[in-house]
Amino acid sequence: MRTKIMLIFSVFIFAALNYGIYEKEQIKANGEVLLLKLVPRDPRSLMQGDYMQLAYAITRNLPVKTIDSQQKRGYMVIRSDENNVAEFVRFYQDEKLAAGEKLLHFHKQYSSVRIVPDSFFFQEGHAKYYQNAKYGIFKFDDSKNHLLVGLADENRRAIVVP
Amino acid sequence: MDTKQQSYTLEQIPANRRLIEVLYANGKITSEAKKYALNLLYPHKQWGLWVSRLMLIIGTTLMLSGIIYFFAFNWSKITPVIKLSSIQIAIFACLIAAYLYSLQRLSGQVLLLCASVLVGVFMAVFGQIYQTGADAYQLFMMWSLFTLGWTIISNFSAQWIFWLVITNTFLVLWWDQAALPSREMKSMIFTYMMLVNGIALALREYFALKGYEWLQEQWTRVLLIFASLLIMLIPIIMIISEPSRGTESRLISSLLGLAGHIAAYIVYRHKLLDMWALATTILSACIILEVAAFKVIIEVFDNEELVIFFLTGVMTLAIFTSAIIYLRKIATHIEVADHV
Repeated sequence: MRTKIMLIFSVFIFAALNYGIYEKEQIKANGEVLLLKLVPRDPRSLMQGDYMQLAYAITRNLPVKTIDSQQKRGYMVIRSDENNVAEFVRFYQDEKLAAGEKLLHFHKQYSSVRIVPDSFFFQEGHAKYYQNAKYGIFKFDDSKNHLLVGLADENRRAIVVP
Repeated sequence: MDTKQQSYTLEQIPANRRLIEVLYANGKITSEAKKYALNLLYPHKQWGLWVSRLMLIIGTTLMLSGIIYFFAFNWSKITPVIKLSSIQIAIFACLIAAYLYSLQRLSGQVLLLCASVLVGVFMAVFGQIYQTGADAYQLFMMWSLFTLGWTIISNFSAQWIFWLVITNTFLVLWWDQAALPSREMKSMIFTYMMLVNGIALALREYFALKGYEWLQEQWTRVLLIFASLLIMLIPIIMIISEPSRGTESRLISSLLGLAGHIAAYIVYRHKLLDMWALATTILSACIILEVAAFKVIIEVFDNEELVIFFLTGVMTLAIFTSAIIYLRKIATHIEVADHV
């Protein structure tokens, strides 16, 4: 009996795991590409084994005071400039978006705004390829989701590990 | 003494190593009889069973860490599809094997535990492929939720401890990454963790008393008590050593922690007498006393290091010696009760 229940649970778990893959693959296949400029995060040598800490230029100089100080998370409206790099437009307040505008989720603690993911994973030893990354390559769908798919160099070309 | 012993029936006298040694020492049984009786009570082969179980557990652990390192080392050479599907195949294989062995047996239960660990591996790899990155609490939350069902039906204490470790990790990460508490409420995490682990311990005691055999293993109690006491100890020490930074949440957590210590003492001294549990509780109480006394000494003798060190030494001796004397008294008491 217990063993049968175990199998029933297992079906649910497999369904959930694979739905997770499907969801991300949908964004990867159909999402719109937008770059987010990176800024060196202090200290720059935060290379810990197999991932890299990221900080985004867009979170600097935000008009944080214009949102409720108790608010801990929300969306900001972004739009791409001529180089396909995202720029901040305003904080989102459930209004209708203009064409080309996308939503980016953020966390806020005290007065600093954080965008997740703020780390990029790669295989151990591949730090040398990524250390000069200047942009994060994101894909956005229309239901407020985004996916970090890679990093790009100063010429906005995706970094490919040979 | 003699008249008292006559009121015992034969079934009430525990047959153990001590009894056989006493009979032999008094010349009531021969050396052969002693050997025979000891072999009956403690079979030779018992250690073999123990070793084979230990090997099973070590083997499983090594195999699982091998799998994890295989993925870590070959990270960019394997395509995402292969990465994710091979882990799923491994989970599937574990489940099929667990089904064939059935959950009544240790091997089936260990296989289910493997499947549970692999679910976590899957999510870690998933997080790396899709760079879900920093919000690690989500990984542990989903891991804990996914494996909850398996854990409930497993009837396997190692599976429960594994689940509790994941759930505690989730709580800590969630508090830090998603709940974003204010400074005043930051230490409430200790209260939450006390509740989770305290409830787990209470359930373990309750169902072990009800006769669930798989819960009666001693190590689960010791581990849970150790973990709970440690969580209760931290806020108490924080508030003693830095009373000026006694936020509301630290106060709540340390009061609950004190109550927890008292409850543990009462339960393991008077209800379910257990020397291991009692000694752990007393040790934790000693640490609290030690920190409090040290705080007083350091406040009174501000800069006089010589006096501070001397008094601290004397005080440490006093606290721990009295604790040991107290514990030994109880231990003798138990022994007398057991062997009259």
